[in-house]
Amino acid sequence: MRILIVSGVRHARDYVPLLRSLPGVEVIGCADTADSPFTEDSADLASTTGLPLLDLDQGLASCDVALVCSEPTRHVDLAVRALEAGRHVLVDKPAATDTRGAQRLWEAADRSPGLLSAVHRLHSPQIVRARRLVDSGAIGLPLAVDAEWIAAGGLDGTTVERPELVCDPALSGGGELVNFGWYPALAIRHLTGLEVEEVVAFSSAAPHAPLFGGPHGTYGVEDAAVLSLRLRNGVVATATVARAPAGVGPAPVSSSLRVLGSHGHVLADEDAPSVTVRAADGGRLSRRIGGPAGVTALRRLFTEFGDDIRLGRTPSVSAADIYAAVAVVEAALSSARQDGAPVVPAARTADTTVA
Amino acid sequence: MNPDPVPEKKGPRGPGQRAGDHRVALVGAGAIARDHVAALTDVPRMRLAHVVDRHPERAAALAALVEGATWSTDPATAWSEGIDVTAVCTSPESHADLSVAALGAGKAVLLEKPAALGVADVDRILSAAKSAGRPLLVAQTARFQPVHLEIAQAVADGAVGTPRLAHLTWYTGHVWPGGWRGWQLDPARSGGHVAHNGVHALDLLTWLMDDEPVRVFARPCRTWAPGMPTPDSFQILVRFAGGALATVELCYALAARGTFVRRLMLSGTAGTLHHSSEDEPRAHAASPVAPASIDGAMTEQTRHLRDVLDGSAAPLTAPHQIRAALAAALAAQLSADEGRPVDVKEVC
Repeated sequence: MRILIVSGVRHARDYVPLLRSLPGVEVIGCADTADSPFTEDSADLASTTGLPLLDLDQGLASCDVALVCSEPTRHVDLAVRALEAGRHVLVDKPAATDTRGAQRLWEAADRSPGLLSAVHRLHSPQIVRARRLVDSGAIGLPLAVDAEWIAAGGLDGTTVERPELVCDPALSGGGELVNFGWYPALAIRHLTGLEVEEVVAFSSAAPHAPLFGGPHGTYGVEDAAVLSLRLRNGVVATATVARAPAGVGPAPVSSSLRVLGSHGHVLADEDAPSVTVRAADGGRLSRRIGGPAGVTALRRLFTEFGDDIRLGRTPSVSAADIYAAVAVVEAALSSARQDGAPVVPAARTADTTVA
Repeated sequence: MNPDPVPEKKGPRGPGQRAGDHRVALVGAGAIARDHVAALTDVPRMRLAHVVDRHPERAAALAALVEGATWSTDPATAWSEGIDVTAVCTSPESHADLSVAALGAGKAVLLEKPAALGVADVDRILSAAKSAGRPLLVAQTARFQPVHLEIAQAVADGAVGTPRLAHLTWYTGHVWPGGWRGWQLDPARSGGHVAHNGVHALDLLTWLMDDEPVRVFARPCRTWAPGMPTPDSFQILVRFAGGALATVELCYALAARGTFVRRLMLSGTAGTLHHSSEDEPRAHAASPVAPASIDGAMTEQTRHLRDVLDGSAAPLTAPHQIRAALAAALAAQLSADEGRPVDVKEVC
């Protein structure tokens, strides 16, 4: 499987070594548009990883899969271009920053022979386990889900390449709700199989101040948000997302969720189960059993997407799932702007590109 | 059964009583009163002296648990001369009148939650306590759970800086007694479950965040039966006056009665604090055993009440917190009923 990194702005520095460690995967190069505001990032990625820096059309012609790693607001344009070139496409998260973009993605995927999916955490071992228990009937029908995604700092370049990539709406589409809301929205959909009918959100976006005093306030975007969801069949969910000075667990991003069913419940924590090692100097290290969940989830995502292509399967996150998750986040942003007014997520409209 | 309409005046003590005992009268002999009796038994110098209930057999049965305790069906006997503290354990619609009467008679009051079913009523209670100069402790028992006492101390020690984001998750397997006759199911008597038990979570957060909720959104979830007049489960989003945010989930849907999943994440300007009952060494027995982190709260609360009565501590539930938590809970109930976010000032 030949993979082209389309724009090396976000997360590509982590994805490239992981992809290279997978059997049957070749990263053929990095490419960006001539008018990209971040051509230097792609050049840096090429330089540090030894990848060739390719012309975008040339790269698309040579690859099987385009992995779009630009700043979020260019995801859709680049992914549509790759789909129109007939390539399979994986888009970094969030795949789109609004439902207009998500619809363009969906329509392009419908017209393309290529498969479309996006980066997600649904292959995280604890979420896989939770889904398996739900599917087995062991906990009955899911009735309520609560999900929490907390990032620990990271705006110093350790996990986010530069702060404006999650703070400047022109690049990120919003603040941490756009950046992280994607994950719980997808997880809740994955575990319940239900559409979200109503979203209520409070956030720290303007006119409120950031909770933790980071750079989000400069751009008027949220560093934290709390969401209440009503799903079909009377099922409910919450999501709590934030970038705080410290996380919950040892990983840069801690996430956990709880699914309550009519006949039982299941808890998922990406930092658990783990083994704790205490050194003679008093230092303490937590080793997650099976390795870091984020890495495991990504490795499996890339592997499964390859299998999806080979077997003609629908990916775990399809264009419809992308749209639904983006619609929840968009509704949450709208609700937060109205200080918690209930908002119905957008639904896909008729294909505007078909005559 | 021989009712004693007026408990024995202070003076010569009965068997096991010592000078300096604090004599407690319970009004309302339901399930929570039974828990108070057990806690009183655990705490030296706290003594159940008298029980009042409109059902004589319930009053007598509860009084019979403690040697020398008397009982009556007349509420006024709960603030008669031989009593030091009146514990109001009735359903919430009667809390205000009973508390105001007891305070007016010069008694200290331990008041079950929610303190009242309206902010005007809680204001009456607070005003009566102030006028009488007598202590008022609202039984926000969650504060006295070991984990929350520790977290409060950690916050006070500056462990997380200024708290800015909380996520409080309380899941349990619990069904109120009485079947469809249970008063908790009647919003006119309980205030609705969001107010009735949401006040525990909102009080805890008000205390830990040292801030007052100003806007809430609550969403109900009926897990036992779709036609329940008030939901067994709900979630609340909270915005505080200082801008802090919180998510609360309170759900009674765990399949096994008596089981718990309790979790709190509290993130501040200098750190994040986290507790989960899932991380604790747990006891597993024929009947579920509560996690150690929440065990013994009623006894700890009773110890604190003794200290308050001794004059060595101020009631942990400060008047402004009592009002703020109740107002937030009432606003959350209104939000759940009407499906919209509610400014807390709307119910004040």
